[in-house]
Amino acid sequence: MMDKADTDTAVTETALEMCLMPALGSGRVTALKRLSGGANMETWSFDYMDEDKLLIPLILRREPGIENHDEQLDGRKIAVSALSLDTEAALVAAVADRGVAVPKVLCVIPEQSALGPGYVMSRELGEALPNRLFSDPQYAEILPDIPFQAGAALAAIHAVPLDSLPELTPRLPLSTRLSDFQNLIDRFGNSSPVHQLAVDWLSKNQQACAAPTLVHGDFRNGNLLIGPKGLNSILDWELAHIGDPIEDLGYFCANVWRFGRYDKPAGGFGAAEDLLAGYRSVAGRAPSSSELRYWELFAALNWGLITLTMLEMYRSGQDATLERAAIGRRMSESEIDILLLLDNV
Amino acid sequence: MSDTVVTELLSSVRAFLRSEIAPEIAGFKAYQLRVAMNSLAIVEREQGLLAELETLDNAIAQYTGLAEGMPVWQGLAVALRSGDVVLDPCDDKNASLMSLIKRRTLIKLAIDNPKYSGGRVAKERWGEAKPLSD
Repeated sequence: MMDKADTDTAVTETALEMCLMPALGSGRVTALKRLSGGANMETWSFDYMDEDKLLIPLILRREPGIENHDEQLDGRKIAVSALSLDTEAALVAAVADRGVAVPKVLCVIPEQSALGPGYVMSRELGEALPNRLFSDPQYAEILPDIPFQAGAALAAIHAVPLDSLPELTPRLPLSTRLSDFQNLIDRFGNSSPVHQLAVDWLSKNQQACAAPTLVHGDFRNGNLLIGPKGLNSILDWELAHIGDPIEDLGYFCANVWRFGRYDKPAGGFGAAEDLLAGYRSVAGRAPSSSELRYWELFAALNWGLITLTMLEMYRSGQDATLERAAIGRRMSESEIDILLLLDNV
Repeated sequence: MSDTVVTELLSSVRAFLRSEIAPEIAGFKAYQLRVAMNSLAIVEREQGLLAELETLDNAIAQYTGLAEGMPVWQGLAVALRSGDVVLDPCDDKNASLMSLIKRRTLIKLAIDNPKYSGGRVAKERWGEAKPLSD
């Protein structure tokens, strides 16, 4: 196990100032604080005052090295192989060039350097936490507009030319994803008959995607930065891949990502019809409701396997924390959602 | 009168953490304390619902003819995987077994996360997860 204190102390004002000098000129780092992170991903917030005394709000994402790291048990590598941070940074920059709303990548930190691997990006304004979005009255008026905006944003993501993406962006056909799911189910000792029913149904009803596109892979309430005027920025691109674009739309609607608002299928914000209308306004077409449900079921199974992967991280000792042990008991959320969906297919 | 039952031990510890410890801490530790108290609440609920869960597991084992030696829920998953039990969830002739699976899942969710929205919707659609006698 890594020593948490060691990695925490690696991120200092001085280390960041040295790292940012080539890209931003010399300056001072202030208001440095850790925002979140598990055992293998850290997010830091800080301000950078450059030589003109201009204060630039920034975010650092980094993945400190972990020895004896079991690749297969990386919590981020459940459904698809997660991008390395330098590929993620290159991909975010590539989609920005195509007009997708994302933070601006300012510098990539190589693996060999003290802080690396990681990258620094602009800190955009807005709120991403679902509970705050739902409870803070200043967002009440804008929330119903989010499904349409999210649909339009997804269409823009799906229109990014594949040849503009980093070479290491993985191509993941549905058949590969489903056999990965089955492998995880077997690996975790066949914990749930409902998961087996789900993967069998998904396999039996799979349709090959005629025109694979860039897929965000984690496009959900919680990864969208929302400001007073609506969707500001799309975060967390580490699960991006090339696959079936409908995945993103179904994932956004999965019940687990509605955060308690079952009657608002589009991420807890509003109606699925609005999501599809926004998508159609840019893409000129939109998936059918049965295609959407297919990927909702896929997302429900995906969530169940995430909970089991995190539990396995606890059991293996790789991340033996309270939260990892507890999350294993959220498997039944995925089971109920799968059974509800199977009622209507 | 009996001596202290397990649920009383659990609820007294939870009440202590909530009223005496929670006000003393903040930030990430406070978040972890909420996770810890939630884990205790799961154990507490499981104490109350374990018998119902076992009744349903036994009914599933009987219905499908599962061999003993493995927890029923896992045993059914293995049997579905191997093909020893064939179950098309969308075929009406499997409604009885699907109904047992749904009831079992509702009770498990009532233990793990009774506030989850999917449980509320499922209860409205399927009816409450009642004991098997009715």
